Order: sequence, then structure tokens, then C-alpha cells
Amino acid sequence: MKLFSRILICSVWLLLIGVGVFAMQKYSMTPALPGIAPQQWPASPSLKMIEGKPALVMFAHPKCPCTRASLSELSRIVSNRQDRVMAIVVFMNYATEQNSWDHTNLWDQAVSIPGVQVVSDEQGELSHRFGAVCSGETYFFDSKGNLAFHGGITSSRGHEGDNSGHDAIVSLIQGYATETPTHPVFGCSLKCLHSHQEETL
Amino acid sequence: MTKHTDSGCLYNDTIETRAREIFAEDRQHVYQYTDRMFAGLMIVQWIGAILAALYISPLTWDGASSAIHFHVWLAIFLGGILASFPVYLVWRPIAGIPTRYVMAISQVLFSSLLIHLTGGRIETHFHIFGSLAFLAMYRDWKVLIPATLIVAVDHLLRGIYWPESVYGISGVILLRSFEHAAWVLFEDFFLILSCRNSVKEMMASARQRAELESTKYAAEAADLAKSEFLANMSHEIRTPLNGILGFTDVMIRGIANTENERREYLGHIQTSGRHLLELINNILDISKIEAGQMTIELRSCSPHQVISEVLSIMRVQAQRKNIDLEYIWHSQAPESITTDPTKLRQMLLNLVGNAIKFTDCGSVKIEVQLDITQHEPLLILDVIDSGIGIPLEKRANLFEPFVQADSSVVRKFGGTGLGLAISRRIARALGGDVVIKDTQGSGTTFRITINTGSLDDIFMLPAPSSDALQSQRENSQKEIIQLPQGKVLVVEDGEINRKLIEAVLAESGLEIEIAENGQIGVEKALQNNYDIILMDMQMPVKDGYTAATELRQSGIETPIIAMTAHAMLDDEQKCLAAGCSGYLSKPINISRLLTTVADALYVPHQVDAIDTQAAEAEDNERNDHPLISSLPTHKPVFAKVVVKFVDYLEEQLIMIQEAIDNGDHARLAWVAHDLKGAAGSAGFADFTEPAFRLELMGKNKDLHAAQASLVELTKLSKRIVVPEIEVLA
Repeated sequence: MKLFSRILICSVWLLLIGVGVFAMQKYSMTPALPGIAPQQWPASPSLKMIEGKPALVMFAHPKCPCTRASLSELSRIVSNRQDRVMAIVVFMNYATEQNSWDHTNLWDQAVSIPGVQVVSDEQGELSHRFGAVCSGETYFFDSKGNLAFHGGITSSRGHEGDNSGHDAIVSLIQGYATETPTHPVFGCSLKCLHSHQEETL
Repeated sequence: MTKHTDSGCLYNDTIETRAREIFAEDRQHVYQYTDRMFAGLMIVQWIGAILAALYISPLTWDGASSAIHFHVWLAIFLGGILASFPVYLVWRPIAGIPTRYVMAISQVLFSSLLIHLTGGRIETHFHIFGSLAFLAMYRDWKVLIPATLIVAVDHLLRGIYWPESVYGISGVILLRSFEHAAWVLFEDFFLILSCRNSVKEMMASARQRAELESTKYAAEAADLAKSEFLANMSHEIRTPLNGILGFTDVMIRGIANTENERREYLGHIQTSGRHLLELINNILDISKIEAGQMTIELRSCSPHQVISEVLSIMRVQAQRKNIDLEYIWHSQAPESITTDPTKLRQMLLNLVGNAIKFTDCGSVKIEVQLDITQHEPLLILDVIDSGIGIPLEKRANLFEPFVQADSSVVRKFGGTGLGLAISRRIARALGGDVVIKDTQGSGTTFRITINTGSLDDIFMLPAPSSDALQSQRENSQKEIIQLPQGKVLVVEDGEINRKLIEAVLAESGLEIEIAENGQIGVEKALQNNYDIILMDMQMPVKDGYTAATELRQSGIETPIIAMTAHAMLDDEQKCLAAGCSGYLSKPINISRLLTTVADALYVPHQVDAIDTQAAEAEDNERNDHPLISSLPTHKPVFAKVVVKFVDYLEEQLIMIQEAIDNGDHARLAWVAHDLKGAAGSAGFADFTEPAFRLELMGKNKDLHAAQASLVELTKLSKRIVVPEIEVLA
């Protein structure tokens, strides 16, 4: 085989790999579009703040694989800080008569995090109040109910590890201000439920 | 001084070349084996990546709706791209694309894919280290380069743009990227060491196998060559045997009617017998050498003398073919060197004999020079002939024992095919070698090199650049030795030998008595007076050594001449130590027998007994023509040497006479030894033998025959032609 042919074959192979790797990184690094968050803790009969304690709320899709990393990050944030923050994971509930969404792996993972309250968002009421549109979207309200952070807490899609969202929340819990009150969210979309809700409402 | 030859195995270029071939084959085998293993791993990794994607992130969700997760497609397609090309290369290699490098690139990118699919788990990062170790199985450290580069570049870019993806923390300084790359290099360091060691071991193993192969082939070749040799020898031995038996039968049946016919047939028998003897001697020589039993006796000797002797011996053979025999020094000639003169003579006889044999016209030349540029000085002797030459393709195995260059040559020219093998081994034992020099055109040049030993304090004779000693035609004569009346006891168990000796000596006028073994011989010698006793040394009942010793112990002073078929170098000394006065080797040469008996009976004599080349070689025939130095005496410097020798010779002969008269054995031995060396250096080889006999007589404290040898030396001295004084001026 001639040299040119050999170079061509190898180049095509490397190019295909390059395309694959680029797509991998592109998918991994492309965040979801977050919803519009309320600046104050939204009043809700099913979810109330504890007075004098900041609140950390994460919305999660019960089967979103990317949210596994978000829950892990949440676990790292809350660990040893349970007494300083009220942590809540709100799972969307898409239950129908034919299909149950209770107690998925992610639900079990969230329940296992010490100091974390897990609630099910029946009919999408909470996500609607908070304006959450994608899984892993997290909110931090200070003890006065003011929104201090809104965004994701993973560095990329489904990728655990330190990131600025994680760092911002830890700073806020410790009583410091943060220069990064937001961070991209990487997770599955919750919007179908919203659409359904909006249509219903 | 004695040293033994070493027949060690030579590690030559051929073995090294073969070792490299084996190494290349082994390496290719390792590459292919590892390629196949990696191909399997690629498929397993591909399937593993898909399964991991299906388990970890099978679906992506949009509310309650789902679709196949991107990771699943990524595992299928990117994994497929990574795995397919290297696997294809293993199945259908493409020349010029080294599969192992493609494998290395693919493998480390698979690590990246798997790490990604597992969400960057730290455990998955170990896949990289495992992959590098696996790549080291190729035993080619260069394979690690692309893999390491990909890891380093990946970490560098991530360190700059997305540190959390690798280091788990944000805001990582660049140094962290280098640290990660350094850990990879840390592993590489040991893997590279491992690769290099493996390669060394493979090479060592290849060398061992090449040597084993070489030894095996050599053994097989030797076995084959020996079989062929035996077949040839069988033919070679049968041919002269046929001549001997056939002509003997003719003689017995009385078919030969005239004296001329009888002489002709006897000549055939004699020639056949000598050829047989040469064959057997060569076989014995090569057997001894191969068995590592060749002994080298280093002593001081004149190279010029040795060469002159060889020329003297070979001269008749050259004259028969009407070719010139020349001898030239191209450098100063050392008066003496330290070597084994007997072995040197044997080598030269062999090579000069071959040269004459294969030269039909022109000349055979011995060109000698001293090489003092080496660590140890060497004597270089080129034997140059203008003969038929040796084709290049025939030269390779020419020095191998049991290998004959060309069967047609053997049939035409005869010979055993062992001479060159023997010569080379002798030369190597003497610290040199024998090689064929490349020559343009016809003819062949064999170059002998030997170690001369230290030349400190050795007198150097200047030699002209183009002096040559032309062979001189000599008229060989036959002379019947007239022995005086005498009584000889022949102690010999072999009937044929007894009859031969009896016939020869009786013809010369001696009275013969026979004893069949040593016991009878001793009894007869004690009861009768004999003038000489011829004693076979290997006999039943009582051997010759015991018999001679007993006779000496009984006070018998009769000269005892030992006869033995042993060809060992020290056999003569053994006989003399047993009390014998002289030594004759078997088969008995009639001329030498007569000379020895004449010496023992104090008869001055001159022998030119036989006219064949071998007999001349053995007998050192003499005649009455003037003795001219073999040195180029037309040059003043050599003429001076001869003149000095003549003066010196007169003094030495007087000293020898005094030593004999006074019974001073030690002085006789010393003076004779001195004379022997000096005569050789002066170009008078004829003095060597009688001087040597006198030396032995002195050493053995037996002066019975000393006077005869002295008379012989005196006669020789009177025949010397002294160079003209005017020439010297």
C-alpha cells in the first residue's frame, strides 16, 4: 500500500475519533437552560423554611442519570453541615395508573444522605413555584428567605467533582458571601411536566 | 616450553547474523501475540463500554418521556471506531502501519471513553495505568510514547480549560498537570526498563539458540563430512593397497621377467606404501589435533634455517616439474625466533608441497617478512604460486578438516585434504594463522603468520628487497654404502620387518642374528658380542625399553638402535632415556637404517639413497658437490656471515674433538647445539643433522658414534665454498 493511502486511512480514523471525542465533550459540557427563580422563598403549604436556618433545595428527575452526580455533590455539601442548613430534594412525580415513579435508585440515594429531606412533587406544584425546569437545579435561600444561589452543582453532565456551584453553596452555608451566585445546570429536562401543569392549571 | 592447542568455539559474524534473525523472528512473534491479545481486549472494551453506558445512563429524560442516552450511542460509535481499526489491522495487517502504535493510541483513548462513561470515577483512571503496563508487553518501549503523549496532552488541556474533570477541584495550577504527567512517566520509566531488559534477554536467548543451531549444524556437517571422508579414505586407502597387493602378487608369481620390470614393480609398491604412510600420518595428526593432544615445543631456532631446509627438501620436486623455487626476505631477518621449528617446517612443507603440486609452470615463491608493528612480533611467510588458483567459492571450507575442496582435484592431484586443516591448527597453536590472500588473476597465496617470541637481543640480518634464492638442479645419485664386517643382533617380533632388516644388512656384508622378543634379545646380547643391536621397542614378553635398560644395567655398551612405530614427539627421548644410542622410526627407511648402522659402526658415509621426493625429505641426502650457503652471498653482508661462520666452524670442530677425547659430554652437547644453530643461520642446513646427533650423544652421555659424526662434519666443512674477498670489498 502506498504511503499516501496509509496516511489517508490513519487520518480518517483519527478524524473520526476526533469527531467522537468532540461530541462527547460537547454533550458533557452543554448545560440545560435553567428556569426563572424567585428571589424570595416562595410560599407553599407543602414546603416551609425553618426559621433562622438557610434552606437548600434541589429539584431532581427520579430517573435522570446525570442527577446521580448532583446528589453526590449534595451529599458532599451537606455532610457535617446538617445542623446549619435545611436540605431538601424534591423529586418530580410523573406517576400514572400504569407507571409508578416511587422509590427509584435516585430516591434511595437521596434518602440515604443524612440530614436531607426528600419530598415528592405531586402534580409539579413545587417545581412550578420555584421555576425549576431541569434535574439538578438547586436553590439556596439564606435564613431570611432571600435567594443567594441558583444553578447546578456539578461541573459537567453526570460528572462528580469540585465545581464553582458546590463551592458557592459551601461558602454560603459557612456564612460567607459568594461571587458566583449561579452555575450551569446539567440534567434532564423537567419541562413536559410543567407544560402539562400549565395546561392543567 | 609446551603448550596445548585450544579448539574453542569461534563466535563469528555468521552466528551474530543468525542471532539477529532469530531475535527479529521472536520479536515479530511477540508483536503478533500481543496484537492478538489487544484485539481481544478491544472487543471486550467495546462491549464493556456499551454495557456500562446501558447500566449507568441508559436513557435521557424529558419529563416523563425518554430516549436512548447519548452515552449509549457514544459507546457504540466512538467505541466502535476505536476498536475496529486496530482489530482490522490484526486481522489484515497493512504494511507500513505498525499495529502496535495504532493499538497504543486506541487503548489510551478507550481509557478516556470509559472514564467519561463512568462519570469520571477515580477507579476508572486505573485503566490508563493498566493499559500502559499492557502495552509494555510489546517489549517495545517506543509504543509507550504515543500513549503517554495523549495522556499528557489531555491532562494539560483539561488542566487549563477544565481542571475539575481530572483533578476534582477547580482553579488548579498548571503544575498539577505536570505532576500527573510525571506519575505517568514514573510508570513509563519502569516499563521502559522492563522492555529493555526483556529485549536484552530475547537477544541473549537468540544468541544462545544461534550458537546451538550453529553447533548442531556443525555437528551434522562434521558427521556428514566424516562419512564422506571415510568414503574417500576408503577409496584412497584401497587404491595404494591395490597397488601394493597387486604388484606383490605379480612378483610372487614371478611374472616380472626382467630386472627392469621387477624394479618398476617394486617402485610401484614403494610409492603406494609411502602414499599410505602419508595418509595415515595425516589422519593421526588431525586426530591428535582434534583431540587437543598436539604438543608444541617452543625453542630458539633460525627461521632462515627452517625455510632453507624446506626448500632443500622440496627442490627436487620443483625441479621435476621444471618450476622455480624462490625465497625472498622483505625485511630484516632475525637470527633466531622462538617457535616450534618442527611444526613450522611441517606447515611449510605442506603449503610449499601443495603449491608445487598445483603449479605446472612458473614459480613457487616464499616471501618472508617480519612484522614488528603488532603487540607481539610476527613472522609472515607468503607461499605464492603461479598455479591453477582456488575459486572463491571453494575457499570457505578449505581449512576445515575432513572437507576436500573438490573431488575432481583430489582424483587428479591426490592428497588427503587434511594438510591445510593441520597447517591452520598448527599456525594457530604457534600464535598465528594460515589464510588465503586475495590475489588477482591466477595463482594462490597462502599467508602463514606465527609469533616469533621476544626479539630483544636478537641479531638482525639485513635483507635486500628482492634477493631470491633460485632452486638449483642437482643430480641425484645412488650410492651403495659399504659396511665393514660386523655382527648385528636384530630384536624384532615382526617377521616381515625381521626379514627386511636381515636382507638389507646382509646385503651390506653384516652378520645377522635374530631374537623374536626382548627376553631372547637380552639373553643373546649377554652371551655374545655384537657390534650393534637393533631393538624393536614394542614386543611381547619383554619390550625394547625394558630390554635396553637391562642391557645397560648389565654393563653392555654395544650401540642399541631403537625401532618404533610410535609417532609421538617425545618417543625418541623415551628411547634414549631407556639406554638406546639411536632411534629409527617405522616403517623402516632403508637409507636411514644404513646411515644409522654406519654411524654406529664408525663408518663415515654419504647417502643419496633414493630418488623419490619423500625419501629425500626424510634422509637429508648428501653428495660431494661444493657446499654453497643458501644465503644471498653475492651481497657483502651475507658473505660476511659465511666467512665468519667458516672461521667459527674450525674452532668448533676442534672443541668437539677435544670434548670427545676428554669424554666431556656436557661440553659436546653445548658446542654441537651451538654449531647446529650457527650453521643454519649461515645457510648450511647440511650441518644440522650431524650436529644434532652429536648434541644428543652429549646429552645422553653416549659417545660411541660421536667420532663418526665429527668426521662427517669435518668433511662437510671442507666442501664449503667461501665467498670471494674482492666481492666483500
